[in-house]
Amino acid sequence: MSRMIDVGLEELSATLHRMGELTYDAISVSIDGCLHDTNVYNRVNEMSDMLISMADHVEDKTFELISRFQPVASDLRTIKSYMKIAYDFARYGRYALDISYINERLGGLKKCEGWIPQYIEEMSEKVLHMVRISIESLRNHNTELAKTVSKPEQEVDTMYFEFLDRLTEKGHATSKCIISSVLIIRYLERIADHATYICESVIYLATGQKVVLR
Amino acid sequence: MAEVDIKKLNVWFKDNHVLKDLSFTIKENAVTAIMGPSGCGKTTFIRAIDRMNEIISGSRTTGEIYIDGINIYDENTNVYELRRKVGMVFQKPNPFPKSIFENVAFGPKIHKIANGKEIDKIVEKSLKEAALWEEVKDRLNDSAFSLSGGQQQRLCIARALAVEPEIVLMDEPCSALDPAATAKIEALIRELGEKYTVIIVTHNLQQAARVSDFTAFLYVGKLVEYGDTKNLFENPKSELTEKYITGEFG
Amino acid sequence: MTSRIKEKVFFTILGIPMVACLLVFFWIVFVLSSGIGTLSWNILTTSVLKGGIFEMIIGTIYLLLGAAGIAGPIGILAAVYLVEYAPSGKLTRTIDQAINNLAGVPSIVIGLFGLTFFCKQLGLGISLGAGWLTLTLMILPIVIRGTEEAIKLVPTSFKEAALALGTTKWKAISSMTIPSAAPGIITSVVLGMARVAGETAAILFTSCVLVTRGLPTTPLDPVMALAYNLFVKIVALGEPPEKVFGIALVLFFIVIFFATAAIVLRIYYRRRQPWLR
Repeated sequence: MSRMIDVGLEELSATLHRMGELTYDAISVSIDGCLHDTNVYNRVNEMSDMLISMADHVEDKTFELISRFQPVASDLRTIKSYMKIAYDFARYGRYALDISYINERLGGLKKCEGWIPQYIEEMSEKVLHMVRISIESLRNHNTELAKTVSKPEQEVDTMYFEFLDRLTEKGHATSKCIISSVLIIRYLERIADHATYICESVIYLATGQKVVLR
Repeated sequence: MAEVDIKKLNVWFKDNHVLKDLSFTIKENAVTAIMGPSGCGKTTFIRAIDRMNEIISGSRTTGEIYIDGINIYDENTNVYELRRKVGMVFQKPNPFPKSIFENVAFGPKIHKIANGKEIDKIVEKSLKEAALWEEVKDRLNDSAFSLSGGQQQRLCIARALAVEPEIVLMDEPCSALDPAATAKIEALIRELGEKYTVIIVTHNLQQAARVSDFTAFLYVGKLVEYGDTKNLFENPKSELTEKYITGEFG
Repeated sequence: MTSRIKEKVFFTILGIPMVACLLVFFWIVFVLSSGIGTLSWNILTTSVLKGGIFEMIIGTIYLLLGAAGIAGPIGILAAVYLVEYAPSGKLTRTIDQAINNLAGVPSIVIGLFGLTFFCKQLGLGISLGAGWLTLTLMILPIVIRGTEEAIKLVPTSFKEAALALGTTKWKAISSMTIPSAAPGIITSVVLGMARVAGETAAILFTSCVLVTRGLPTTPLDPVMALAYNLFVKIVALGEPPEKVFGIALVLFFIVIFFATAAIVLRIYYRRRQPWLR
């Protein structure tokens, strides 16, 4: 039996899915730009703006559903989670924008020492994989898939600290490269964190349990 | 001020088995909501607590209900004293066809709780507890019917409180009232919950969520789930409860 | 036919019986009014031995009040029992039916029963007391029926609320139900009195004589009554009807008085029963 609130919930779910795809694009485009030294700032900026306005729309819609339908139980948890996840997606967009801004201001990583762009490419693949997990587990409220984000999360954390260590050890890179790569890797690590938050929200929404996947 | 311990309560009306093996404990000094779809036995349940089902011919009750450790269905129980200790407020406000004063004074007079001036004090205290005193203090001798619906219901609450009960039962007390009157009574219920054990039947989920500390969900005469209101409404343990409160049936 | 015309037609058809009743009523008054001439304050207050009709009037009133005094309490308690206490079942239904049937028994048969049982078997002889008991049998069904209806009209919520406060069943009924039903109960008693005010057959051989010496002093004394006097004067003494129109008029007004009192009481008490609106 479909209830009045279901229409609203489905609309939210569709919006979030679109946001998810958009963030995936924004992140991969901005990383690509860094690695290949192409100017992608404007494109990513557009996507980021769109994500912010979509997040606002989700916030409005959730408030409307709350005031009209006084949801409880799984409906309430779903709405609460959707609001958080929309914010997380918008953050993805911001970080993607920040990455392409670094690229814009300080130049890309193409000219840096070989191991740096390689390292960043490897890490960005892991992070994009996590983003993909977060989008797909949200789509079907798939808690099993959501839990698989733990492993890459730990790997990304390890890679982050290892990079900092190697950088301080080697010390050959230009200051531009050092600053760019550190900032970019920082943003990647944050994106990974938010992917984990999203997966935790998916588990809460479906089961009511608050877990920590980090 | 009294815990209500229900053990294997069964109630039949002729051949109809209305309540089936109910067992749970209602905490004292709190508001407990009893909710469930129509016909699930909520009203029969609270009427069992002050043995009001016995008035209906063809009713049969087995099991025990312990109030303050004493089984109220024991043969030696004084039903009239039980009904003084357990007050009841009905769905449709039903003040007596007497003055406002006489309505509240009726109970204390019957139970010979007080005389003369003492009764005046009790009436004032009860009307204050029911948040009605200010509105009626200058017209205590007016007919109870001259009050609005919401005021009449508060008068019925004052009447029940006048005999100093320990437990207050309310059977959908706001269903015949408009939203403004409902809001006043809900606020009153929360206040009463600090001093009395309040048990309220409601089919309005939001009211149960607003007003109660604990909630019991009854379905076709059986207890499906009982717990803390906050947890039950955010994360119900039973799937049936989840379906009911999210509106998939009922 | 359009609805408007249909409405008017039915309205007229239904109005005709009402008009007919009014016409008959006024015609009776008109016919009897010719007897006004024979009446005067003097006649009403002078003893029969001196040409008045005083004892007849008082006798009729004694009969009425006594019968109401007996039938009232018995009828009310019986009705309370039947509605509130009697278990629903065949026995109760049979009793209900019996009461209905009692109302339909011809008054002459009741009078005969009264003669046999009250006068002869109980040894009361032709007396005020026997008249009271016989008339009670006629008032009882009206009072029981009326009280039952009045009690049923009282919302059970009052009684329930009283019980929930811890009263006994009887206290709940006596403090809530009966006082609330009082208007209906009183009305039914008064209606009962209106019914028997002009009753002739029942008092014919149970309590009345043509002339008594003074008013009855004990319930064992016989009594004079207006209705009885009318009957005897015409049937036994062969007097022409016109001569007794005066007496008939007095009796007529006594009955009208009680009937009107019942209506007035009903209207007055309606205001005090807002739950009936």
